[in-house]
Amino acid sequence: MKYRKYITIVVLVPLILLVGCRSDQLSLERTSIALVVGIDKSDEEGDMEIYQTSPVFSREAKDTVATLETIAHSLRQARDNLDSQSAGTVVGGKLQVLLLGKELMTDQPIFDELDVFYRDPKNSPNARIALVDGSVKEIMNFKPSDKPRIAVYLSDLIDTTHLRENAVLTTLQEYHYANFEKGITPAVTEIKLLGEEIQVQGTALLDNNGKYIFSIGHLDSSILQMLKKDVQEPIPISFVVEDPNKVLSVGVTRIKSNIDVAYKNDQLTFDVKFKLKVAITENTSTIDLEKDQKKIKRIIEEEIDKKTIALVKKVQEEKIEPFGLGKYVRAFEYDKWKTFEDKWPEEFSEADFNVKTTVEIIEHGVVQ
Amino acid sequence: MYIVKRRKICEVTRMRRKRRKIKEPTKQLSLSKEEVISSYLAENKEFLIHSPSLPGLSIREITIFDGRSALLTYIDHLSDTAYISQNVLSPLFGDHSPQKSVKDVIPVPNLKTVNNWTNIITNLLHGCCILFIEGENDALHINAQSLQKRKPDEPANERTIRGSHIGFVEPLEDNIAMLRQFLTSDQLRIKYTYVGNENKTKVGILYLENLANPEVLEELMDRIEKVNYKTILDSGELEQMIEDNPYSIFPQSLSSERPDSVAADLLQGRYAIIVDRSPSVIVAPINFNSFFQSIDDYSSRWISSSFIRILRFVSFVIAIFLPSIYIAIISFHYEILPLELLLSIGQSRREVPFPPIIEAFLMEFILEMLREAGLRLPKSIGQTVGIVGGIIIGQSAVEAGIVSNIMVIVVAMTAIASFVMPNPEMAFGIRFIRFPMMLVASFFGMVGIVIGFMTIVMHLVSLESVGTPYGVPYGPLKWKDLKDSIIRFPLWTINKVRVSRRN
Amino acid sequence: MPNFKNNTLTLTQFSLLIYGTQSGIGILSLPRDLAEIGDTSSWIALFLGYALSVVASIIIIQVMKKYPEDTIIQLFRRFFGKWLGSVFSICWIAYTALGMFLITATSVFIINTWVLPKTAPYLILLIITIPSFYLARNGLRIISRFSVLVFFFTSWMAFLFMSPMFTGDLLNLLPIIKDGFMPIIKSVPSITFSFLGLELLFIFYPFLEDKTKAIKGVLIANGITLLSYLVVTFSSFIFYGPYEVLEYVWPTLNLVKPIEFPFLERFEIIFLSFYLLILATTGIPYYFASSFSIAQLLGRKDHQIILFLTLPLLYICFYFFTNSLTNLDKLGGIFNKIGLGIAFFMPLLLVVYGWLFRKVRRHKP
Repeated sequence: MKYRKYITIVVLVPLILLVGCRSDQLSLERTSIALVVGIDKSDEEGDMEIYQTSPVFSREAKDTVATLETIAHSLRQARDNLDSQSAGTVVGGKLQVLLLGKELMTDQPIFDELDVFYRDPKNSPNARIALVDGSVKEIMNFKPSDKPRIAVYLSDLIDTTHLRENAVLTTLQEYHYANFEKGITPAVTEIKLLGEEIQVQGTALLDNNGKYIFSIGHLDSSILQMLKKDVQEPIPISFVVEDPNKVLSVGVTRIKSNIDVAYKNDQLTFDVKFKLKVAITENTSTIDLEKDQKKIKRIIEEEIDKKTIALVKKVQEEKIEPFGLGKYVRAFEYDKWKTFEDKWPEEFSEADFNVKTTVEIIEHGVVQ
Repeated sequence: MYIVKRRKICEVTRMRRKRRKIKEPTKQLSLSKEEVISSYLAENKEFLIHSPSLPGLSIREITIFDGRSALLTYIDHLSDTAYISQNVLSPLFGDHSPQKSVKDVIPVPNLKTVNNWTNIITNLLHGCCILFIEGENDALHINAQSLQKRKPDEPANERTIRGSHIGFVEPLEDNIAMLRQFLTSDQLRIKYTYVGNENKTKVGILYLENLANPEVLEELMDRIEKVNYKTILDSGELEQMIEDNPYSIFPQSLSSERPDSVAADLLQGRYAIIVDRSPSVIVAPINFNSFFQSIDDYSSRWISSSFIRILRFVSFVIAIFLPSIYIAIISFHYEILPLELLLSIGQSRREVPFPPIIEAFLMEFILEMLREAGLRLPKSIGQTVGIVGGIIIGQSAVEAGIVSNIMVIVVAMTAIASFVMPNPEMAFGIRFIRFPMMLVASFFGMVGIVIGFMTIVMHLVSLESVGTPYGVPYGPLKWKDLKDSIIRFPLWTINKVRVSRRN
Repeated sequence: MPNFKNNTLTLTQFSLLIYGTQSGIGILSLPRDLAEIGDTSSWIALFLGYALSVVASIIIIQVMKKYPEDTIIQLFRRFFGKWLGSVFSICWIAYTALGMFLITATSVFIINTWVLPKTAPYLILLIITIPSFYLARNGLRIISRFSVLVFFFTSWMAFLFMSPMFTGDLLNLLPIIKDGFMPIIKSVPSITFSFLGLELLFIFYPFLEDKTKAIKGVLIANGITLLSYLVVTFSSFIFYGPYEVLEYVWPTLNLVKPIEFPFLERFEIIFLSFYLLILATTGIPYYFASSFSIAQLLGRKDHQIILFLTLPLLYICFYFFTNSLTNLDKLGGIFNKIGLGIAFFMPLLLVVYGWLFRKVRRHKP
């Protein structure tokens, strides 16, 4: 109590210092929040075209979204350029979607260029990454009257497609992980502008440098996620069972993937067992669901086995490995893994791969 | 352990004494007449007539049944004339044997003799009636006080749904009687003392001998006796004089107008301080948790009262932190909002020309003004002010683009939350803290809020109430007492008798 | 100078005070520090670190037990006489002051990097130190009350750290022992740094109410510390795997970043702000220890004025210190090395010396 006078001084002095001091204060309406950032190849060698959309908080402005573009060597440089173009301060903390042009990723793959997203702790790690088949610019300027603003629309689109397991959902954080984890190569969502609609095409597979290799469709994406053990929601699959166009649709409600890795005769071998519990959701064919259960099971099992083997073959040919099987090798065959950990995708292309699917039908709706 | 602590308490008191420049109490009355009364009526009469401190004194000379003359004095309106004529005058004029003494004739329960002018004057001023008798060295003192009394009804700001609907009134003795109705224990002790330099006010300290901590009593008596103030008109004044830390924003004693809740506190080993002429009774020592308890909690079932408790704690947090969190988010950490919410806040903020801190201060001030205005006005007008202020000002401020919709919601929520607190003193403390909190939030964002929160917590753990820790059962953690805190466990599991402990 | 008589600590307060002192800045970079040396199997070393620090704490208690009213300052004086004792005491004070400075500077640096990049560091320093001063001047009992409260206020953080375990891949932890036991043993020293804070037992012990519970107290304190380290390490290894974890300066903070709730995103801002509470329970005991030791050395009963005078000194030091990661790492390295000596080797020496000391004294009455 004796020192109360001094304490008061010590408390008051900083308060005085506060006045007119540099601060991080930045009102929401004075910012230009980058919600979607698009990067595409520029005509100039080594440069990138960078696009950004941000919401506009102003009564006078007619549009609710502002789209800006610039050409720069790096993202940080681009931000400085965009800052001088927009009324508010450009901030990246709420980034929803990062769009990468397919051309860019084929010709001059970028991963190191994304550094600023990870280095600056203000940036969001949860932005979704999508590869654009076509021009990024067209998507950035896409303003249909029946859709919400592009950022909300794109992120909802990617999220719901992922919910159906028809494409992967890769955030910046997961992309970073896939790049540094030696037992996996990255994969991102692929989207395309089709006339007046944006459509999620499936999954684009990249190599460890971020170079675009090839794309896979919806069913393959589901299989990819089954192998990654990353399936939370029912997967809808349709099979053509009778000519012409007689379809049997099922929803895979529960999946157990059992992945075994072993060296058989010095040959790396993966034995994958899928145990699926399916519900039949649609049947336009003449198959009797009661009597022909075995047949249905066989159709589904064969189809999934076939598709899986085909996907793995293709992946092995291209020397990538988006399934994360390397982690199994590391976990169970660590000594061998040590010898090839830096060139895992090449090692994987030599591996044997067996798959066995068993299907159990648990329901077929309320009609026979 | 406690004895060691005593030293510290004394130190604190010494400092407070110094702070308030405490002098030794002066003598009761400024009258120089210390001498005793005379046995001659004429001298006494002379003295009374010329005494400057007895305006409105009525003096009546009578001849009583044994033939002696006497002098009946009282102050008009302070004494009950009907009572005097029925119980004093008519027996004195009655037909009694002259051998009987005067004392045997007057049928009042409380008859004392006085012979000292100082006492006589004090008693007259308290509404007593004094009877001087020729040839006697002592005067008779008859208590004929006529007080303006109010019927004990339910206190307006401490209403309960269940429980008794009786409230304290002004006279000290009546209040003690009311408490007695709840506590018939033979352990109840009462200590009287007088406070005030100019005007003595009677103060009673009540406690249960078997439960209360005697060290606290000593400390409490010490503090009350050291009070150096001209006069104590209300218990609120005394409360401020005996607090541990007068610079704190948190009240360190509880005041209640409900005999049942005071009785409940006494049963927990606390002390009740009743000030004459004040219907609110001070309860000390208390802790932070007491402000979240209401007597209602114990009469309703434990799940419902636990829910109410949680509600109060949540409201406590909302009332202090919500506006500052709003400021911090809008001006620093817009990232933490989900996109949709962010966009809608951005939409509502777009027309507001002020930074959020000004917006918030403006609205909070208007709200406080409305509250204060509504408090003093008659009930019907008060409601109108509330509606006009709340709805019309809020609505048109938004339309005029001075504040944003979200800000109005935030302010309204804070206001409601601050009214949830059962204790008005604590509610005021909370309402006040949010202003500095808003300031730090506008300078440092979330970091500022946490620093503010930290400072509040640090303050609460350092505070003491009459030398006992204030933060119980959180600050010094007391597992047993936690049963009656955020969740009110079933009554039979709560050991309600608690003696204040250290650490 | 028994001014800790009216400042006694209960067992809970004692153990959570030590826990608060131990867990602080170390935990933020712990997963990376571990992974650098021992890969993902290094978490086993945490148990070794725990055992070591418990042994060290028990030795400290053995030293202090013989003179239960003495703090380290009085013990130095008793053992080594006035002059030599003072020299040792000054070393001790310098060490605790360094600890206080290091924690404060790191807190400022982290806040500056993560939450408020444009705010001047000295302002952050001011708003951190003023509440610290307010708390520390009230004595150790109040500090321990605060530590207990903070422990409960921040216990939700443990659940927060568990959530990345469910999104990550458990395979990342396998094989449990990767390259034999050598890397695990090698990572023990960097773990013992994280258990530093137990050396403040030299100050806390005389305040403990029931001295027989001291060993129980340090077991609990180190146990909680171990538990929190295990949660963070497992979580980081499962979420990041053995390669990505090396990419972050403070993996623990990055761990919180992707966590989202339907109503709240970017949880690290809230987390980090609340982490200030934990940093306070680490820094304030060092602050108190240094001022209290100075007061004891000077024979003053009141440590408030010294607490107050320390503040401007801190500001001056901070002014001349370039607050960068490199400098903090350097300073931290120095602090850890001295701490290792003070917490793990000095008690051993003191035990032996004390035993000799008493023997010699007994021989010449």
